[in-house]
Amino acid sequence: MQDLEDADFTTASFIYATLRCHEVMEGYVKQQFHTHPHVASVNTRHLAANFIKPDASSQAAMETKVTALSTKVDSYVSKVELLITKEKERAAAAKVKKYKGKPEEEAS
Amino acid sequence: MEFSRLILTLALRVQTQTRYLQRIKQGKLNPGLMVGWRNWKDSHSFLEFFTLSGHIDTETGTAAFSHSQKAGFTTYIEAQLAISFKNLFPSVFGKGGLSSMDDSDCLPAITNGDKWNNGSTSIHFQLMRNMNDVSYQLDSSIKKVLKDHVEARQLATDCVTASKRFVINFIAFMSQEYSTWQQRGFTKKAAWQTVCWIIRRIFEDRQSDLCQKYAGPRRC
Repeated sequence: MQDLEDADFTTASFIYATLRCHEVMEGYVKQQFHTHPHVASVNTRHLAANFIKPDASSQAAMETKVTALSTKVDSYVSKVELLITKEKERAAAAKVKKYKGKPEEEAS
Repeated sequence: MEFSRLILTLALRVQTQTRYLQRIKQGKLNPGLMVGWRNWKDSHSFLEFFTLSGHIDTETGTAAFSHSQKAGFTTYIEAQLAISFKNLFPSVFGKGGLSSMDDSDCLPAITNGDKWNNGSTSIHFQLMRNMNDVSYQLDSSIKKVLKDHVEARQLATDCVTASKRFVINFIAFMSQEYSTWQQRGFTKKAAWQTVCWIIRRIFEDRQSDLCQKYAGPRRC
């Protein structure tokens, strides 16, 4: 870059190089960096590098597991509902028994 | 005259310098342009003037001055500027140990995001704190050297101002990008890696542009 025999050429080269740099810088500042095409391409590369492709086999296994869990939950729900019904019936029977037994006690 | 043609070519290509074009077309070349290149700064060379290490050995500094004079540079600043065209990164980003050299995934001098911005004492804030000092130092130097050349002085001052503006925006962008990627759910390492890729890309743009166009096959 430096020419010791031709100082003018060296100076002109440096000025030219500096102004070229300023042109590149101006492009980035005008686009506020974010929207500059080169920055956008780097961001795209970053997203591609960090993208996790869904695995088909693991997805199927996950679906099976979710179905099994759903069935299990359904059976628990039906059991709980059955227990609630039985409890209600037992409470009603106890109430009837109590009501029927009262006159006999009074009579005695 | 080769110098005139070169200046005319550069002015034609660089749209931002159009106000100087008319005078150059009329053959009124400003002699201030020929004083030397030490007054012409861009973003890369602007960053070279930040002394973040805080200490340079006297022996090292003196040797650097001596070598620069032996190489034909009239001032140490000229040597610094010449080296800034050779390096991809300014020393604040690129000065690292041998183990961290040529690492495309991170910056040799800043290996993680916390070194860049930890909220108080990191390089981001060191640069911002030194910004006005460096700018004032360079402006003063330009005013002194080019006191008799109004137009060249204005052009050189514009270069420093544009460089300062770029560096301030660039620093803010780096920190913002780093935090944005973290907010999107990426780890600190992944976020800093992206920022490093962007920085590398920007400085590669600058370097490739220089090698393609500034001196042609004769010098590059």
